[in-house]
Amino acid sequence: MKNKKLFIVAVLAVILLLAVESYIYFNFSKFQKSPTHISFILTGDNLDNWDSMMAGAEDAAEDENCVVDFINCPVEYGVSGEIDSLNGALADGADIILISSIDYNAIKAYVDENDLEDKVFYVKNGIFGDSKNSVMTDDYELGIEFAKYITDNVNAKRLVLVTQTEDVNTLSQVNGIMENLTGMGIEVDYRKLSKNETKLNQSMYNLGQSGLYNGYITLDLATLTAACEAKSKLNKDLSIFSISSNIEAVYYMDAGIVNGLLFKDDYSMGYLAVKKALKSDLITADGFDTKLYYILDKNMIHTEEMEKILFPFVK
Amino acid sequence: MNLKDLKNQLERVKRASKRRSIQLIISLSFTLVSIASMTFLTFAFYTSYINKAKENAIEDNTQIINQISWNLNTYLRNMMGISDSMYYNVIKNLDLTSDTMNKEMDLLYEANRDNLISIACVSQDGALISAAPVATRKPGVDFVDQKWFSETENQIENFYFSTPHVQNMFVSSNYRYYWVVSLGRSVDLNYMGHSRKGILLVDMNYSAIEQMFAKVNESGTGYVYLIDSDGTIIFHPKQKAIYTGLYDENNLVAAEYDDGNYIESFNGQKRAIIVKTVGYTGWKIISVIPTNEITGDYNELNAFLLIIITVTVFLIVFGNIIISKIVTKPVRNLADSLKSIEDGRFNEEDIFIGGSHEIRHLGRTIKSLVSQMQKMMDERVAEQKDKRKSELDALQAQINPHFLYNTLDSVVWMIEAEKYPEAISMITSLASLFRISLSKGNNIITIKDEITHAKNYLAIQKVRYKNRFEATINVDPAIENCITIKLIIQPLIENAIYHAVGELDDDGMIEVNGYEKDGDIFIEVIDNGMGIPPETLENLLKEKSTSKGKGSGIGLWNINQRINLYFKEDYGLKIYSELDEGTKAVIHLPKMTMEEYKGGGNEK
Repeated sequence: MKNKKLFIVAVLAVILLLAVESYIYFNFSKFQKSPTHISFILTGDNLDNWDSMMAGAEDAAEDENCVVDFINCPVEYGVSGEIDSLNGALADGADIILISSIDYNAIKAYVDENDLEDKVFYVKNGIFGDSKNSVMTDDYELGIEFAKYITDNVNAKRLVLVTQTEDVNTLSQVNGIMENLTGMGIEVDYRKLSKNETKLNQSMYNLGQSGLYNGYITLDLATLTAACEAKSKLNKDLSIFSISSNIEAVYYMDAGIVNGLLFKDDYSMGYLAVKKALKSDLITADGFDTKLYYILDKNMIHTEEMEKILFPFVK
Repeated sequence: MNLKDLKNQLERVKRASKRRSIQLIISLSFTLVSIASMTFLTFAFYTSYINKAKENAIEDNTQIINQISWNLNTYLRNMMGISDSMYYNVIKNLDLTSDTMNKEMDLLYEANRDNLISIACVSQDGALISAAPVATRKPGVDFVDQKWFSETENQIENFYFSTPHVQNMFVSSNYRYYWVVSLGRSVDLNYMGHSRKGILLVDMNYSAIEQMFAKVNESGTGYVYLIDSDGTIIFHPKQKAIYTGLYDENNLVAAEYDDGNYIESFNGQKRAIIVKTVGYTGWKIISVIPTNEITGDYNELNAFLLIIITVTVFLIVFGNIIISKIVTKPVRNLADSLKSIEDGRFNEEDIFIGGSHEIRHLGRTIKSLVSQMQKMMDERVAEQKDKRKSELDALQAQINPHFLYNTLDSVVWMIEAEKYPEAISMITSLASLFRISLSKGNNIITIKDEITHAKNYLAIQKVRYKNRFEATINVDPAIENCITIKLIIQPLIENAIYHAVGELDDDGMIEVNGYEKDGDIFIEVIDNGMGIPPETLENLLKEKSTSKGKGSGIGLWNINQRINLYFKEDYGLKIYSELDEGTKAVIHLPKMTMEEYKGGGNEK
């Protein structure tokens, strides 16, 4: 009788165990950790300008159990477009949002107000050190270093610092450059120029032909392009220094139009943003530059090291 | 806990381990052996399976590497074929002072434009002789300063394959830069029969190589990369990350590997490496398979194995408990039988006989042993009984002389006093007394005979004591046929006379009562003498080794001892006495008829 009871208990226990374990086995895939979903919001009218950053993010995601999708937010939609994209991504189940905003202050205020600090990472655009969830260059320090480079590589006595936008990054760069160039005996004037292409080109031409300045310092691609065009038209010995991360800027330098270029490493920023968002271990090689930018002249472009950083592999 | 406590604990565990049951030992041993075997088998199976999987993964990647090596070789051979074709079919037959190579070069370029960026022929002083497609030489660029130029010059007899670089020869349009791998060769240029050195440069489209490898890396386990003989990376899926320092690769070590399979540890990760060298170039295709990626695919298998193992362990444990319970049941039954023997129940019918042949044999053997032991014990009991009878006889032998001495003393006294009728009456009573005493040698007589004996004795003593005391005997007729040990009332009467009423003047009283109470028989002998002092009373029933004359108490001890021997210690004699009040001696006997006694009831 006792044996019979024991036998029944054993059979029931085995059946129960089999049932539980079969459930686990057949639902094995459900128990596995689903991939982290990252949405990367990139504001700009031409997504090609973000190629390097996207490549970096994709390369970083390859090592992880992670999916990255990129959302392009046109400039004309402004920060409200970014907020809509952010909310849309969250509604679609994004675990983490990476964002390169055109208006850092506004998007950060929205993020803070909605308690999204832990989910949103700021990439490239923002105030360095303002948020722990950020991957960007220290634009003020960058401005100081670029000012030193300009001082060492130009005979000009008076330069004009031009930009089309006045976001927090640009203003930090302006401050860094202005404060340090003035101290080094070079006069520098700051001008915010029109976003209208015709007006911009005309302004740049006028600044060049006025004879007031020996050169330009441009802080975005539009003003750089306008400066190069003006230099070409004026056929004057105008120095051009620029901060950019576009292949066009490299081209102008390769063509001998630009004298000095501070190139932001978008690829590394994209790569690091994903790694940081996923809290992954990062094993960097000895040569990794944590500043995330390079200051170049023409002779440096085709060196073995710089070619690999400046030129995208295959378009 | 001190050392002593620890020792005690150890001792306790040791004792407990010695008390373990056979069922526990069997189930535990079987379980351990089964689990050990199962673990070994599972481990062997799993290891073999994983190794096979690793071998398969390596085999797959080897095939992939061979395929990509073949593709790359074909591609490079094709590029070298272009170079050969240009050199041997065009340049060698061309006098540069009268002809150009532009047309042939364009044709070759157009035929291979998917894989080519440009073909160019450069003189030894860096002048551009011809190029396809037609392009403007980049201002400020001196070909002589470029790496491909100096390296090709150093390898006059061989082709030179560069590492990937951005082509920096011609003016580009639309900000377009091309990544190329340069194939350079030293050529002889003919100027009216004068030979001058030059370089034929075929810039291969790096994207062709990139696509070749990217396709392979899209699927499969691990990744494949390409290095030159110095370990410089030509292609890597994380090329850009490596160049910016965000990712690290073991390419310099890999350059030292010969073709084959290796296991290496890099940045804390174990990896299977397959190396294949590409002909002509010395380039090496490296396949990397992190071992955790191989085993990572087997998580489902691991889960399945875990299920099988847990269910099997569960079955083994339960199975072993049930089987050991069934197997050991006969042994446990036999152990229970032995326990009953241990408790003193020698019933051979209780011995379990069953189970397997060995246990049945054991049971029969134990049963036989119990039977023999029972027989031996019966014999021993019989021997003890005989011995007890001998002891009783010896005690009886102590009583008879005692009584005879006293009676004869009285008769002597009567004859001396010339009281012959009384002497005759006393001797007659004595004769009657002895008749009962003899009782055909039986020590057990009926109460009726014992009372008769007591009456005769009283008759003798009343004569002797000149009726100075009165004696009454009241015995329940219902107990007269019950048995008693003979001569146990008479010594009590004797004591009452000698130590109590015999010393009184004329109001001595002896009362003998016999009755049944609670299924037992009680016979009282009561006197109204002076009583016995407590200290004497306390020692009356204790054994005396020798008689110390009158009042030594040996008679009372004898009575008590004889009753104890015959009827166990539940029965016997008790004395109650109060000074100046009298004494009461109470005999406690089992109620038993002579027939019952003879039928074996003496063990009552």
